[in-house]
Amino acid sequence: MSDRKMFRLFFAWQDEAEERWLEGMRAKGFELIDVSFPGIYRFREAEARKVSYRLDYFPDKDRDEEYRAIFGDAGWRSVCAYNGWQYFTHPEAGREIYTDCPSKAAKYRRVLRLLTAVLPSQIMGLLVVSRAVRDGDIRPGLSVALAVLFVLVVASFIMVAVSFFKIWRRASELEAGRPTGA
Amino acid sequence: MNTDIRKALPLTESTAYILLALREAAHGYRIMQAVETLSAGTVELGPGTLYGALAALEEQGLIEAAGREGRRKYYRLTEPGMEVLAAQAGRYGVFLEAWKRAPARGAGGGDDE
Repeated sequence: MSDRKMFRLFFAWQDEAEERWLEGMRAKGFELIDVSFPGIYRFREAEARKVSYRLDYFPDKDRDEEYRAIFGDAGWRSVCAYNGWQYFTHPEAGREIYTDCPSKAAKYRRVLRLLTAVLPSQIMGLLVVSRAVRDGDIRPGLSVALAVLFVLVVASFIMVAVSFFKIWRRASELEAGRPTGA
Repeated sequence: MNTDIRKALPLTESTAYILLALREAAHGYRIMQAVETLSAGTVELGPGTLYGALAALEEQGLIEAAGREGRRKYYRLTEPGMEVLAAQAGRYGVFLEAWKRAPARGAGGGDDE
């Protein structure tokens, strides 16, 4: 059996793009086995088929027996879980796990709750690093390390802020009954 | 309890059918089948939507747990749940009457200035 590993960055607002990507991989004969940190996707070769992949957001602690029973009874197989995202697949193409706007919006509200929880630590990191940069420790080695750290912290803050904004907008549109898609 | 009932209204179409299916105790899978039959196939109920609706309805006290069978959990309608369902049915009834009274399009009357 030949497995194929791929690396891919996945941001919280790209869940629908992720679903299409996995369906495309399956249609080319690569079936997802699991996802692991920091974004390693493991596939195995399988018969090329058109199926459905859908991602739900439910951190593991919320994932109870009944949740699994309801998805299983509806014909969905749980493939794996990664960072609170539950990866499901259904043998038929074009299936949905959320069939109305309010329930789909509730999924994005759960993602927003997580992003809201990490936002303060992101802002703290930004403040601490920018202060260190401003106070300018000019020993050569240290300033390079500080610059790298600064860039990383800023990039991370921007990603969280962008995720928050995009997901908030999608949840609001769904609540107003206007599903726009990714 | 009146305020609670008003707060729960209007129900989404899926939720209305879930409550209708729960006039007798049922688990998730049974509810999905019942909703399909009751709605004559017009309402598709995905598992994510169903799971979220059951959790919310239980929290609102409109349904309650009614035992387990393996991994499956049974639910049934509570008194407030029945009231909400009846109120929602009343709203659909009002709509249906309004629809029947409305003149058909193009059959005269619809295009007044």
